[in-house]
Amino acid sequence: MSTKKFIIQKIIQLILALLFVTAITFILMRLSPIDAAEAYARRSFRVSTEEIEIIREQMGLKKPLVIQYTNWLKDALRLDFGKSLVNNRDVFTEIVGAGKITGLIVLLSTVIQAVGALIIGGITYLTRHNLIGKALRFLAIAAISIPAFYLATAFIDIAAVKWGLIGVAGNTGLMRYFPAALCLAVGGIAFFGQLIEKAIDQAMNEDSILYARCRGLSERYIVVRYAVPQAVISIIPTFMQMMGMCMAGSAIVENIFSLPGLGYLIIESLIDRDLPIIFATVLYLAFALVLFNILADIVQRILLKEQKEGMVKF
Amino acid sequence: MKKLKFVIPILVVVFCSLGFMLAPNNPYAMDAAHKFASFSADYPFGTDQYGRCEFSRILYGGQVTLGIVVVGAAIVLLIGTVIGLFLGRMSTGKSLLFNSLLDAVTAIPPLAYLIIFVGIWGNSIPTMLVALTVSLILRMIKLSKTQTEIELGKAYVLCAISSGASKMRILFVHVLPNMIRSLIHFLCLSCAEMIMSISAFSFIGLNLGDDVIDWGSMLQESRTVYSVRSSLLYFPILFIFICTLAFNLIARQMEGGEENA
Repeated sequence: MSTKKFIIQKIIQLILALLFVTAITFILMRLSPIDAAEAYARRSFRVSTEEIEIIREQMGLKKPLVIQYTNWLKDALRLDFGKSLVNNRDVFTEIVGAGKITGLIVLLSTVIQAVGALIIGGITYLTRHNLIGKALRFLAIAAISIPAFYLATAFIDIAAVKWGLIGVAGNTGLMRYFPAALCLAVGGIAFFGQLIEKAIDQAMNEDSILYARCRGLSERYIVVRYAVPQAVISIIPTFMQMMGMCMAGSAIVENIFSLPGLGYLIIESLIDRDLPIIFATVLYLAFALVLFNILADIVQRILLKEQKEGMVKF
Repeated sequence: MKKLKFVIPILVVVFCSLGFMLAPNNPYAMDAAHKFASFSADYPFGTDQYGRCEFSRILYGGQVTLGIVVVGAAIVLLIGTVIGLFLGRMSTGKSLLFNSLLDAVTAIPPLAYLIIFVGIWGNSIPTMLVALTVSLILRMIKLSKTQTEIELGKAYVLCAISSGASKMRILFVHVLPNMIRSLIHFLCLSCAEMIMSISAFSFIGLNLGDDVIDWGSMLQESRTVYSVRSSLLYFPILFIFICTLAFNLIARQMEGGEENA
């Protein structure tokens, strides 16, 4: 596939994904048993039927769905997502603010996952023949099976409330997001640890490693110097996809730690039926997810190309 | 030994999803006289803050949580695989648009779909089932389609065609058995993720309905009485953990078996 065709395909993919997700949101909203205008009226204590009708007219909910959708799309292209129905704030600024927090959590969590997975993967490989390696492998599967939301509550119950180590509300700066990022990372560390171990194992069977052995280098040196870099490169695409997953996963952890990130915003607005925020957050989330996916594809393509030309150097 | 590793997780899942038939007490029956009862023959796991039998509630909760996952997974496996098979067969005109659409739709993780569905329709068992099926079936179709395309390029298909096998026979008798392992592998990993997601939603307050017992809402309720009786918190989490672990282990067996075969 030529580079040009590749780029076009990725752009089409991005646009299609955004259209699909926003369209689904509109359709689901229409099919929803809870009426947005009614919910809005209830909140401002105006509950007579005529008043609900007037609000419905104002919100443009009486127009056909397709027209509502295209109107929204037109505004969205100008980054105008309207104002929140709850507190009348500009949706775009709300989302950018929340996006920063989620971004920070995801970024922090990614760093923890990368470092943790490397260490765990390396140790598992070096100890693969003895009991420690076996135990680590089982621990990895067990760690994947523990829900992040439980880790988060356990963390609050034990570390914050019982030991009084970290005030959940009081911290500022990065430390405020660290617990959430850590809880989010545990599953990832275990998962990527396993992947790295497998990738190291694969890399150790290559000819270049045989040559290194012939040079009389020690096994541990070979693993660290030659096999690990190769293994890391091979899992980079999967790792980048995971960053997208983390964004969705952080929705739940954010709620437990009460961090005002995207996930918190989306669940809050869903409970309040705050249409403009719902549509915009869904769009933002989808955009981020697809972008990470596409980045992963691009990286994979570059790696494949370099491998073909025999240019991967460490 | 090999078989045992496979059978035990399946038994665990079956027990947790059908265990409600063995429940010793009515999970809804409140009994103010027996609040926070400790373990006994009548109440194997004790009782909660309303005097309800914890063991029966766990079993009924398993029926809901695992029921959604297992039913959803079965629908996804049946429909998704068949659609994928046919799409893979027809993909001679590999249209850029169609592939991009499938790629685009599957680029969004199942959890994001769950958030959208649950948020807009409110959480309930049917919503959860629909959301889970929709989010997984798209991925299943993609996986099954790609696998079919790979398998159709292999030599044994050529042999089958030359010995006069019909299109249907090639797809269902020759191709399907060769890819079923990776499909189930994917499905088991998804099931594990789904158990956690479903519990997570009820846990953060979007519960499945007022009278529905599930592990997530049990966790949430028991958290309020954590200081009085912490074991109430540990039972639901233990069962969530065991079931997720079971699915992960099945997935691992599916993956490992492929190499040994």
